[in-house]
Amino acid sequence: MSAIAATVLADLRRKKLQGLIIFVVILLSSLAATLALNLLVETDGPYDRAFAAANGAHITMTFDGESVSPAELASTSSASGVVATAGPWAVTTTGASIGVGASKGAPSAGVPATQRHLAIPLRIAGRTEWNTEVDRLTIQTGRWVEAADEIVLSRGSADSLGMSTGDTLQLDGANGPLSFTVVGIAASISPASVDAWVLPAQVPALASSSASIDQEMLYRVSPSATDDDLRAASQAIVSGLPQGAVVNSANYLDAKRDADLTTAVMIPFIAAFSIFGLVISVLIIGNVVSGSIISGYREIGILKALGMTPGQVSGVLILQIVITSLAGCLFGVPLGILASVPFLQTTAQALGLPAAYTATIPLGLTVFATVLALATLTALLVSWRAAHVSAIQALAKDALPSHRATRLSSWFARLPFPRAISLGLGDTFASPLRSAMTTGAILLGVATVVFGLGLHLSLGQISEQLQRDIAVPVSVHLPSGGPGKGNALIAPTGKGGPAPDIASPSQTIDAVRANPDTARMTVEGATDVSITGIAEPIPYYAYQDDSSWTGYALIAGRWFDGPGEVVAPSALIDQAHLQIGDHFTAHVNDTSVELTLVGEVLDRDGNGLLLRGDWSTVAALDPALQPDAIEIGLQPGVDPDVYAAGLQQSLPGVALEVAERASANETFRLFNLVIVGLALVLVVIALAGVFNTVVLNTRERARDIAILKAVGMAPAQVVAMVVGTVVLLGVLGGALAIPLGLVFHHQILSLMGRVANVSRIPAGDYAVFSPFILAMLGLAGVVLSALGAFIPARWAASGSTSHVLHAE
Amino acid sequence: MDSLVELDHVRKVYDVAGAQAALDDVSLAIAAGNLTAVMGPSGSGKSTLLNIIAGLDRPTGGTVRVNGVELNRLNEAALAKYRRTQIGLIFQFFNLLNNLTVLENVLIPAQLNRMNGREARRRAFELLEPLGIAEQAPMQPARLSGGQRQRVAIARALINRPALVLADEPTGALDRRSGEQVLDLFRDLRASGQTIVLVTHDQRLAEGCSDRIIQLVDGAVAADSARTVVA
Repeated sequence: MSAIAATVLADLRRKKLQGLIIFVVILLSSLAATLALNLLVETDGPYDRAFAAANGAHITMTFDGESVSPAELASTSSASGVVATAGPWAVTTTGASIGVGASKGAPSAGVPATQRHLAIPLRIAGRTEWNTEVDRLTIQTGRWVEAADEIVLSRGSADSLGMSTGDTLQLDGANGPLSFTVVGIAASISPASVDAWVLPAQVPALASSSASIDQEMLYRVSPSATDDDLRAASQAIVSGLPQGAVVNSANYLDAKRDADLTTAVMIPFIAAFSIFGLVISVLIIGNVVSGSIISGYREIGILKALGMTPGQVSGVLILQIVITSLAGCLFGVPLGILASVPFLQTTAQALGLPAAYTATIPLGLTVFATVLALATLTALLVSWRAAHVSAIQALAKDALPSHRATRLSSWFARLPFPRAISLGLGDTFASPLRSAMTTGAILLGVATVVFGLGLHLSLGQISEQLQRDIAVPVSVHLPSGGPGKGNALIAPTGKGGPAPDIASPSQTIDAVRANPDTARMTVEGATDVSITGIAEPIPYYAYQDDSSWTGYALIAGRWFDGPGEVVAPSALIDQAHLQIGDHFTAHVNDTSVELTLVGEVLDRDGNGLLLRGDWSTVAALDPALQPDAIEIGLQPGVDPDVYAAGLQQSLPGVALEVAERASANETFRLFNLVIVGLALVLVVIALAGVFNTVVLNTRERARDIAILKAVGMAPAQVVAMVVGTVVLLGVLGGALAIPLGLVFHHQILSLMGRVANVSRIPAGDYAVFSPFILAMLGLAGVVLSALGAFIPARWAASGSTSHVLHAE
Repeated sequence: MDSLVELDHVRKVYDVAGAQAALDDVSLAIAAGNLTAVMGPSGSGKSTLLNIIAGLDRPTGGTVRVNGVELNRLNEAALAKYRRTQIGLIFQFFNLLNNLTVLENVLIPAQLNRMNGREARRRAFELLEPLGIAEQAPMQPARLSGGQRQRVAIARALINRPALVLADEPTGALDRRSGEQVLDLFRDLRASGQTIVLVTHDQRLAEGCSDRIIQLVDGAVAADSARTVVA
């Protein structure tokens, strides 16, 4: 064996702790890099990948079961542009009955809370197979239906109903309630997908009448890249069918745009975390590698005195680092891939996608090569310098401390701290480069916490502002045919019009107003208006009553307060080149009305192109304007589910929306999971950096620590002294981290808003830190440094004294 | 005369396979006010004996009592306090802290013992001046000669007025002249009633100031002779 190999192996055996630290730091760095890169790659087109994997449908059409026969529908597979089909499947809408909170709130509508059930509509398809050529479903848990009393739910329905595999679900049947066992939860990539699946023979049993069974067909078409392509294909499909046969149609591009938008919003903060992670890793790797080499200066001197050339000495040092780093990467990259899996699965779930993306090997290899190259390059630079130090210099390295070190020690000695602590503080900058890199790692670690916490708080606030489920927990959709707002709980039964026993809008409004649990309400309608600067007509949402309580977060200005005043989202304001206070003209039919923009609001409806204002402003100009929704605020303590159930009892067939059940929190849960996960990894890396610094410091000061213990320094004083060597770095790093973290928080949040909906963010969503939290965050650097230093400090306190003192 | 230090069947074996005992059934008592020299060839257990009396190491067997306190019963924190208040340590290679000045080195034990700052400085100069190194107080130890550094170490050892001074080869790293100066210092300390245990190879030092010479060979007491000190 060569002298170099023998020396390298001997050093690796002897310097186990040093090797372990390098191994752990490299492992964490490569894990973080792999995780972040996987997430970045995943946010680039997850819908396309999932769509391709599932062979999703480009177009989903629902046909009136009485207007067309299954045979006629099957013949549409030969329409121009159609390359594959699935179906027809019988579909119907029925109510899933769930019991709602018996313990909260006042009784509603005269029905005791204990007997209250809420009917949630489910759109159910009869399907024998999940693994069809078009729209291959993903069974996320459980299995497919095999028996008449079995049902598979979509993920969204399962969450909305609070159901999981094995639970029993009660559905409204044609002849009374029917019980089904949930045997699986599945996901479909195709647009306008159903909420649940049963065996085909069960659909008639669930339909309220034979007239309420529709037929669904799924189509893959070519070409399919643009809206025009899909429009042409749709026309070809329906060309041979009777007028009015199509009840509903949806295409994959809308769903893709939503999914891509969500993931695009994630890119800024994942990129920010990735940058943090990369910089921390560079600092820590540099610190660890250079520290391990510099701490071996005496050994370098001995090797050179024995006759090793500088190149051979460099080789010894570099090989030690490379071997240990290689081991770290070999574990870190696969662990990073494994760590990505829950994030990627949550991403798929949040986006409503069926399959999780599998991380790629080339990406892992890229991280592997990059981290290893980084460690090797650092080792090369530091070892080259070290190898060219003369043997005498290397052997006598610690003979005379610098004047700076002595002056600092004396200065700290004058401070009114216990001596053990002032001794530690005095050693803070004994190695300036190491202290600077450690401060950098602490700074970025704390900035990550500030940034991550800020994002978490801001996104939580924004989520509440967008969903408005606290201000408006329940809303009613009136059967006026106006533009709806999303997922109604109960659609009018059957198709083509309301059932005879459904209350009129005025009856519904009166009933809501008379309900003692109603604290406040506003009636809303909508019409289309045209304004300069916007090509297409936009919705004007008109409010009959005071609507200032409906929870729209103000970015600027105020809520409208009378006729002629309107508020609008950022996208419309920017596109129409408006400012708060501007007067402009809106055209309704052939007439016009002068409007004044009084406020800018955070509003995700209509892609941000809409106006909200008083009812009277447009009512005279549009006689067709009708109420189509009621937004309801509840008395304190009233359970929204209980209230909704009570309304359903008193107003059969009423279309309700309980905000908590309808809102999709999955996206924000995903964001928070990613934020917490990445922040945690980065904080651990920063901790490892501090740990390494203190280990190196205590090793270099082993003799001094032994002397102090010999003259009577107690173990607790040793711990305090050693922790004191990094506390000041923690104070500095923490103090600098606050503004850095806040800047990142502000910039990234603004960027996310622009990406999401071309929207500015309300000022209050940036100012999420109370003075108390900021003060605590300021201490985070101290906490981080103390935590990282504690174990090596304990080691120093308990280490051998006599052995060190007599080892001369 | 009262015994300040009592060792009773003390044994020390280091955890190495096949290792000989560093101390093998050593029993002795050291009187207060005496200077006891411990001599012997390399590896005879001299430094081990000193470490055990100082509480820097724990015996494998037997008991050690200093000033009535059984060291075996003390935990690490209590041993640290014992060294702060009862022991003054002087090493062959001085073991000063190079990043502190002479004065700061001397003050360390007093500061760890929470002595009042003014009183500690007064006490430090009380020691430095007769040692002839008061002017070197603001200097770094690395800039001093060997003899001067050893005097700093002596001042540091005495600042808390310890009951016992333990010196391990105090002249081992010094030239002859410096060694003579240190010898004189030990004579003066002995004359003032300080109890000292001194490990040395230096026959001249041992015969020049000790009341008793203990010879260790292979970890055991081979000879133990009381002497009359020649001034």
